Amino acid sequence: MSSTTISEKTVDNLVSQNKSVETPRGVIFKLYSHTVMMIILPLTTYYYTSNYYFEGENKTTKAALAAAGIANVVVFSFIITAILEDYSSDTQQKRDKKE
Amino acid sequence: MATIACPVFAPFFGFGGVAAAMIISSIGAAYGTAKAGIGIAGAGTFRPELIMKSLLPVVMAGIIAVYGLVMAVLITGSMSPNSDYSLFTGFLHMGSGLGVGLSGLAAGYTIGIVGDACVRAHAQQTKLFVTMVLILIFAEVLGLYGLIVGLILNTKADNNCQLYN
Repeated sequence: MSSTTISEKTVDNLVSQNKSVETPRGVIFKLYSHTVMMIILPLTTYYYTSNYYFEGENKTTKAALAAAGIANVVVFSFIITAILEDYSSDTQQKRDKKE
Repeated sequence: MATIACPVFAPFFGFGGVAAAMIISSIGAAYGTAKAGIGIAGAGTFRPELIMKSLLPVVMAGIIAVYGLVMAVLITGSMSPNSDYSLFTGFLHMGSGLGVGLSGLAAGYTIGIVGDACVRAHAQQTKLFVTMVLILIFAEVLGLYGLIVGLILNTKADNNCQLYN
């Protein structure tokens, strides 16, 4: 009898731990997508704006500044993704506790 | 054609600037990633749900390497074997490459140390996330200053070979 109650508690513990263990797959995908964007987007922005968008004598300077700006935009998107994931996991834990 | 203002060895300094921009900013980004990674591995063992937020110093260290890459691409784009290249432009490119590289080294060093300490502290006190973001932004802006100075220097390139005749 005591062994069955202990096994139920351990099963509950394992289920609640599993929810926090399953997140690394989504974490790795988000990190990987942000890394790829951080490599590809600045170079693409530099070549695109330097050849097609900016005109004049200092177009390479403005294109380099645009590439640096795009890299910072990727960083801000990573920060926002991390904060949103934290809020969604907080609300999910509150819903589980209420149930 | 080689004159006093455009000697044959002038591209040595230009390519030295390209190499300095990429190599030294990569050293800074590598130190930042490694030091912050130690803290993330330490904090992730007892708070695995905070791993995504803790990966922020690694992303910011990558931005430092992107600054060096952009400056290297920019300098390389203005060098070609068929056009004149003055010693003035060679020194200028070396200066802008060294500026981006060494300020990227400083920024990467800061991101590493701050990232390590703040990630470990964030695992114990969640309210430190905003503090960590602010300090990391100030650290990354150091590299951005180097990029801006390098870009301003780069606009002053002058390949007039008949300067001293």
